[in-house]
Amino acid sequence: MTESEMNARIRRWLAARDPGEVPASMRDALAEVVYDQPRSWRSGIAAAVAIAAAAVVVVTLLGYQLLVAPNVGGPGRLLPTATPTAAPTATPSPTPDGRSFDGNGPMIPGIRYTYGQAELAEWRLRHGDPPPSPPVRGFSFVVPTAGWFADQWQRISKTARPHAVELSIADYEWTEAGNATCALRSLDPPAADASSAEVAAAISLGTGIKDVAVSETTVGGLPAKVVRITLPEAFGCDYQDGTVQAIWIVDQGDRPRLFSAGYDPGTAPVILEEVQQIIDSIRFE
Amino acid sequence: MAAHFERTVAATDERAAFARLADRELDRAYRLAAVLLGDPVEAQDATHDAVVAAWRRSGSLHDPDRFEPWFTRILVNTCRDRLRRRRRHPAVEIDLAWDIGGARDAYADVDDRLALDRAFDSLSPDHRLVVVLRFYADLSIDEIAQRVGAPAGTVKSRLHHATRRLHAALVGEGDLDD
Repeated sequence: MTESEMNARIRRWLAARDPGEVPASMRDALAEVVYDQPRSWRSGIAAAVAIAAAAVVVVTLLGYQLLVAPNVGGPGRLLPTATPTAAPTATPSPTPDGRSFDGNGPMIPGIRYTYGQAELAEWRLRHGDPPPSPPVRGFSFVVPTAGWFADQWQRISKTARPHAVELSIADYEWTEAGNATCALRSLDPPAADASSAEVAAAISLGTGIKDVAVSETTVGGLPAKVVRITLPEAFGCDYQDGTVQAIWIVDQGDRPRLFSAGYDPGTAPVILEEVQQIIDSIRFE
Repeated sequence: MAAHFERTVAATDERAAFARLADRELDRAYRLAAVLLGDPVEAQDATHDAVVAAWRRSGSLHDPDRFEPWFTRILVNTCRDRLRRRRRHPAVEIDLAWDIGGARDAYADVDDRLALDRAFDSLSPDHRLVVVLRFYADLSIDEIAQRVGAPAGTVKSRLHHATRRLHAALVGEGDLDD
């Protein structure tokens, strides 16, 4: 069998996997996504999209250029601010109004969401993976305002058109973080016992990454590093050229925990401040 | 002409413009996802997720002429995420409904499908992507590179590796004519 004969067989085999025309229901769902009309297909997510769209914050773009200098406005802050922003709640432990984070739809501001072994095991079961081993350390967090929406990939996002910000709130392992954190996709995972400094260094050396800034911070009272990078369009992220990613790498004793946010340059400072408030609200078990 | 019209609409009705652009890509996107994921139902979910993500970020797309590669990249990333998180348990299917007159060809196709299914499932998500974009979507190396966000050299390397694995599967279970 020649190479071209084998390639022809591959083409034929792939063509056989093509289901043909798109189902009519998908076209209806497209209209629902764009025009916010309530409907049935994937109604849970579609309704959440409609609610999220209705809660868009109208923000006047200030022409603000996000600074990446690590020490402006306080070390480890996502935005330079005159005074550190206080966490939206002073309660260190889950409140009676707390609930489990299940990555499904709009989030309620002020509610403390918990994410731990049970939630991760359930999520992995849903996706056909074994439970995490060793057990992971749980944490909780709060979103400060309405308009935050959770998806099935353990991300929360907020849209302030024409920009949007995404925060990966539950990345437990490097490979998981690589799925949801664009900058990490092309990098080899560091050793399982790598320190936050080593992880930060690995990120910083990624090919094509620009404007790297690494600073010290704390997350949930634990020492952490925050790495802010700019990605070129060729990196393959869903965003346009110049996507900014902030990655918090928390030293929690066994393996580092990652949280990451991705946003377009020019995203309104008020939205980025909310991301920082969410990070500031994190409490570990 | 069409591009000018799209820009005019976009200036006055962002939603209609996005809906039009997305609708134009929907068939192709869904079918690409189905070939990649091997599951039409999951392909519907993946395509829906990609549309939602694209709509949220559509304000940052300044050139409607770039909608297709931009949306395909979002779809590719969505599918890649699903493949990485999916525990695959390859299922062996045997299609017994073949025409007697074409039995030899049908048997070869079934044989190919079993061998290629197994080999394809053993590939990483990144390798599966380049195979599908090359042999199903007929994209050039540069076009693939643009959509998967990797340099052309990396795409070539992945394609070479993946193609060798698929060829080996065919030679191992098919006829040797050479």
